[in-house]
Order: sequence, then structure tokens, then C-alpha cells
Amino acid sequence: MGKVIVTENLTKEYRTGFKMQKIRAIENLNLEVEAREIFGFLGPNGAGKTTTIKILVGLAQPTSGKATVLGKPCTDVEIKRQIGYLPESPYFYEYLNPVEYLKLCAQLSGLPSDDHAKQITKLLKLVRLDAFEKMKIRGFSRGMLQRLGIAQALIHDPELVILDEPMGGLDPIGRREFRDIILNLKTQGKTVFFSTHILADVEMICDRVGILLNGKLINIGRLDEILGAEIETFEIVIKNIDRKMVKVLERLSDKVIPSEDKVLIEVKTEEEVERIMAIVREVNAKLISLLPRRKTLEDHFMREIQKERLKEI
Amino acid sequence: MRVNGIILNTFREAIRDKIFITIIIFAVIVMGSSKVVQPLALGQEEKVIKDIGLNSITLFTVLIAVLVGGRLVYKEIEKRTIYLIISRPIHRWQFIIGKYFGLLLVIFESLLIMACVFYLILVLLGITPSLNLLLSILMTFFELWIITALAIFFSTFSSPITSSIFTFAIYFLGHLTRDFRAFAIATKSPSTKVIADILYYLLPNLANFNIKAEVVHNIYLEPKIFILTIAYTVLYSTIVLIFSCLLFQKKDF
Repeated sequence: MGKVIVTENLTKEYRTGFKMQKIRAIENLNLEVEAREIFGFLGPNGAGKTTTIKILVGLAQPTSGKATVLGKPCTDVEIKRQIGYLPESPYFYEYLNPVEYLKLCAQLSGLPSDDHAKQITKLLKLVRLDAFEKMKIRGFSRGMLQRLGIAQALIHDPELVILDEPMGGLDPIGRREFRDIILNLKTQGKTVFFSTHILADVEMICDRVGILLNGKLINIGRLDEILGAEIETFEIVIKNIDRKMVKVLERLSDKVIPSEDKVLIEVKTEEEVERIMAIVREVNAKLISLLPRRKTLEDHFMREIQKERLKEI
Repeated sequence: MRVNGIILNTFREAIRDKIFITIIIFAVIVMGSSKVVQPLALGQEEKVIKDIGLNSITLFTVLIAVLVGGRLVYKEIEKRTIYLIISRPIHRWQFIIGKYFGLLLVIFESLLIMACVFYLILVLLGITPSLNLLLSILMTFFELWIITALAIFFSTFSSPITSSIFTFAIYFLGHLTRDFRAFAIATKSPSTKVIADILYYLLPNLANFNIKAEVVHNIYLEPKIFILTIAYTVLYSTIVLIFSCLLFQKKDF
């Protein structure tokens, strides 16, 4: 299997307000998502992530361009049998309990009725809602709703799972569990496409990312390609050093932060590290740590956004 | 069939809705209170009680169709529950059809409950309930096919209050279509004639469904009336539903 999602010059315009002003939510979006990868779709609020996802799952229609999912146009109703979707802040029928709701989802997704009970039990256990199967959804907390959201997205065992801001409303434990579920889907051979603005989650689990800004894709690729393997800075923490020597260190580095009994020094090159280490040995100071720091996704993300904003000016 | 899921869910949603339960309770109270008017009936108790019963059934089921139907689709869009339905392998028209038949199922159940209560009241008051009364209730049911289709049509693009006002307005005007026809023939102004004609052909002819007077007075009704009314119901509802589906098909969520 090759490409699971392909968009070609996908554009979506909305008309809004009394004057029916045209707003371009996404513009000539060209995106390819490979089979069995976890793809992170990044961008600040209003970048066009949700609009793209809505087109992929058939909730909105593109103004121009095209989008295919698993080789078929995303307007093909039958292809949705292979898509699991979790919207941002999902809403459910509050008068139902989770079993009734998942049964409805299974039925609408065309899952054979013989498999309903087994699949519902399995998924409620997976998302830790098995103890609440008789409780009306009305009484669910935000985290429980999010977990029910992932259960409904997986009810029909889809090939492609599309998640819109799935980590919203989850506590750290919930986020960890969610990451595990996503990684587990990958081991099962599924493709996961998810939008987020929580960059730490993306760095931890994504194979590739795409960065969207003002409706345009400004970067796409593997994380190591985007961030580069290069070390950006070294962080050195030393102990037992007097004030005079701190002054010397300040001449070697722009960033020297003394605390009670330690000093943190940030340098850019290996030569600078060597020079600092020589001083440490000379004055009998103690090296606490030496950490190479690579560019984080957050650094990259912020720089890209900055660049685009400067272009606009 | 996947539409069954939507039908069943619409039914479940409506019967767990407070509006529905309140209307049913009110209907039962009104029918029960028909005994109160007995002293004013001047020997026509039986006819008055039957009349109140049949009119209550019509009024309250129309209220269910208009109030529940008017917010059926809009609520799904506003509360965004529709995201998790439309993103599944179902056609948008299946969603509309599912909602329609789900609400018709609710209306059928309401009519059944009210008819049973009505017959029980008649028996308790010592009136022999004739099967003819059921014919009038059946005609109300067909009338509600059209009202429900209109409520769903408005609900695809307007708020519950606006949908309910539009549907109610059409319900009342629909009972006056014969008057529009008569007016079109009598008027001398060509523009008024055109407007009256448009209203006559556009609005549903709901007066045809009202056979209460004939039933209460035991007047014979030709089977042809029922066949034509059913055909008219199916045709009119189908056209309204097709327009609803077309509007819904292009909608972005």
C-alpha cells in the first residue's frame, strides 16, 4: 500500500459575515501521507488544520483541488468505512450510555452485528470506560468524553485514523495512554493522521510532520530532516567555582547563569566546551553535567512562524 | 440497513425528550377533562366528547411534529453530534430519511397512546367507541407525514424557533387552501389571482385530511377519498424531503 492521503491543490474558501466576505481557510494544499505512518499535522489556531480534516472526512467540500483517501475521492461514502475520525472536543448523544452509543456507531459504520458486543467490550476496556458502561454520557468528564471519542473512532477497525486535537482535555496520564494507543495502532499497521499544537506529543510519536500556517503548508518531512541532527548548543553545569572565575567564564560565553553553588554555561562549539573544561580542571571545579542540545520542534515551529509573519510584513 | 440506526436513535432521542413527555401528559389531561363540558353539551355529549378527543389528538401530535421536528436536524448541527454521523459511511440523504422516519415512529407511538386513552375514556363514560374514529386518527397520521417533512425541511437551514413558526404557519394556511382557490376564482385583480393560485398549488391541501365531522356524525366516506389522500401524502412528502436532502447535501459543517 502506498499513499493513504493525497491532496492536490486543495483550497477551501468560506463566506462569512453580512457582506459575505471571502475567507481562504486552506490554499493549494499538497499533502501526502504514507501508509502505516504517524503523521503530525501542526499549526497554530486558525491555520486550517480542522478544515483540512473536515474535507477528508466528508464534513466539508473543497472549493477547488482534490483529496483522495486510500486511493478514492474523499467524497466517496464507502471509503469512510476505512476511516476512523475523532473531532476536536467531540460531542455525543448525552441521553445514551457508552454501550448504546458505540452500538449506534458500529451499526452506522457497517460492522456486522455479530461483532458489535465483542468490539464494544474490547474498546471500552482499552479506553478504561468499562466501569461506566451503564452511565449516561451526560455525566461524563471531559477526559472520559475524549476517551469515548477514541473508542468510537476505532469501533469499525479502520485503516486510517484521523484525530483532530486528540490530546485536548486530557491529563498527563490520559495523554500518556493516548500516545500508547496511537503507537499501538501503528504496530497494527494502521495509519494515523493527527492535528495538534502540543509539540511534545508530536516529537515523541510522529514519523513525519506537516506545518500549516494561514492555510499554507510551509514545511513537511521527517522530524530528523526538519530539525537536523546537528547539535545547536551545549549546556554545562559546574560546581565549586568562585566569583572571579565566573567573570572569566562570562568572557567565553554569552550565557552564564550562576545559582547558589552552581553555574550553568551555554556554548555553541566543541572548542568552547574544551576551553571551559580546561578551566574546570585548572581550578579543581566539579563538572555536574554536559548536555548537547538539539533543535527542538518548538524552536523550529516558532522560527518558521516568525519567518512567515515577517514575509507578510 | 444503516438508516435503521438513525431511525432508532431519533426515536430514542424523542421519547427521552421532556417536550415529548410533557405533550403526551397534556393531551391525556385535555381528553380526560372532556367530561367537564358535559353540562354545556345540551344532549350532544357523545358528539362533543368525540370531537374534543379527536381534535386534542390532532393538536398535540401536530405540536410534537412541529416542536420536536423543528429542532431535529438543527440540534445535531448546533451540538456537533452530526460530525460523528456524517463522517461514517452513510449518505447525507440517509441521515434526513432516518430522521424523518424516526420522528414518524414517535408520532405513530404518540397516536397509539392517545387513541388508547381516548377509547378508554369513551368506554368509561359509557359511550360505545366506533371503529370509524380510527379512520380520523389515521388521516391525522397521514397529515403528519407532510407536517413532519416540512418541519425537517426548515430544520436543515433554520433555528428551531424559526422552523416551528414556519411549519405552524404552513399548517394553518394549509387548512385554508380551498379558500385561496375560491378567492382566486372570485377576485378581479390579476396579481391577487396569481398569488392566491400560487398559494393554492404550493401549500399542502390539509383540509382533505380533516374528516372529523363526518366521522363524529357517522357520515359514509368513499374509499376513493382515502386512496387519493394517501397518494397525495406520499407525493407531497417525497417532494419536500427531496428538497431537504438537496439543501443538506451541499452543507458544510
